[in-house]
Amino acid sequence: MMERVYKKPPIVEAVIEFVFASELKPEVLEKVRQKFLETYPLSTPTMRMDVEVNDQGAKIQRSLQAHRMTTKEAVDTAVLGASSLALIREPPYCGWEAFIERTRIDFRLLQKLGGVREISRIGVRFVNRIDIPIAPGQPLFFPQYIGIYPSLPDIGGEPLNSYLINFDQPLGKDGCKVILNSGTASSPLINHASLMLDIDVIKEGGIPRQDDAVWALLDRIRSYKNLIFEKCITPDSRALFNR
Amino acid sequence: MSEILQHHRPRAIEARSPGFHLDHLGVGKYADSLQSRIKRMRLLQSASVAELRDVRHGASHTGQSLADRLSERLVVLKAMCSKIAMHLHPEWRAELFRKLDEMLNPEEWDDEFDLPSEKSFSTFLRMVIYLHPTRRPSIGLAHNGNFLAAWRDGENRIVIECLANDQVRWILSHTVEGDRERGAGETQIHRVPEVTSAYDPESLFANGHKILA
Repeated sequence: MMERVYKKPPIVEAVIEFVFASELKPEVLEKVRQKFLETYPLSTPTMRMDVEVNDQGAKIQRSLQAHRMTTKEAVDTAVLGASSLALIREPPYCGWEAFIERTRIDFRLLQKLGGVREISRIGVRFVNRIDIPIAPGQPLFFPQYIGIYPSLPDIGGEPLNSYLINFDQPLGKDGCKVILNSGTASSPLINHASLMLDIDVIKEGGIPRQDDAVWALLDRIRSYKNLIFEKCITPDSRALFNR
Repeated sequence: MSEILQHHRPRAIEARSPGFHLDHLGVGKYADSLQSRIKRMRLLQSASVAELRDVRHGASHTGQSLADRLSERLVVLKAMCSKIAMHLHPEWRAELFRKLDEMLNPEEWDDEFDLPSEKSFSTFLRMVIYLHPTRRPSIGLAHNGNFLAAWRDGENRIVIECLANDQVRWILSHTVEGDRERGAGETQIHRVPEVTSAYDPESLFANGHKILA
């Protein structure tokens, strides 16, 4: 399928995530974090809090979950955990080539300092928001903009206020599956309605160890994600992305 | 009917309703578990949009240095831009970022000013996209941290102060056949074209430059 490039891609969050089969030691994780600070100077720890309540009272345990590290321009983020690495790009999206190149650099840096580890899960997730111009009070016929929506029996009443759909489905390709969320969202724009289309294509287990094979797999996962995206949108939404 | 959505006017970024009605006090364990599942789905689905909706004034940072507070606020404002960056012309976005860098430079900062307000900036961004001006505004900051946008065309000009929740305060001066006229008011963003129409503001907002949004 020919790749489509949009003038105003609706991507609000692009994520590539690696989950590893083993954890980094805290001192190694800190060494990686220090190196990552050169690119992502704003670092915030994400803590996990476990609360155990029994007859004697409550016990609270706090532990580090990950470091959320962001660039000064606040569009690129790395979430660095003991057993995971996620690279996130927020708008403006500058294309897959730039995103995957940055991912390669950070992934290799992590391997250099933390060693080569088995990848237990790999995923490409793109959250899209379709902003549709609409006058207040005017109903939106959402099949005009999206191919996935609820089919309801006629229960009378007025048009829907909101909806949310979630499914996960094996793709039958490379052992991947898609987790898809779609629904209405609050629009950040005036006189607009927004629809979300969140496509997460993942592969768990059986991930190659060779560097080239990992990047080739990510490229294929991305092409599955793109295919799903194109199947879920309509000519009218494409027109909005090219206005 | 199920394929039609009722669109209500969205309120300001920080004050909009969640869109999904989940909380209900009288729930049994099955309903409770379903609600938790939907909440988790929503979090997974649109964390970034949820962040947008929850823009609030930052907490007081008494222990932080001024430079840290300014730097933190700068990141918050840039992150807000990123949520709607696809609707901003790249050149204009770069210029806006340069302006923000300049405004929040600790060495130039005037202690008499409040930190720039996220609520006001939310109104500013929504206004720029809604008005769709083809002339770039001059951007300033009021003492109270509100963002100011000004357009000038010769002797004619309009200054708009962006308040919270899509509210704006505007002052316009206009010359017609040698007579000076002034108008001012406070309104919601979507009413700006209507309430200023008597002053023919088109020449202020448009001059054939590249579009901003």
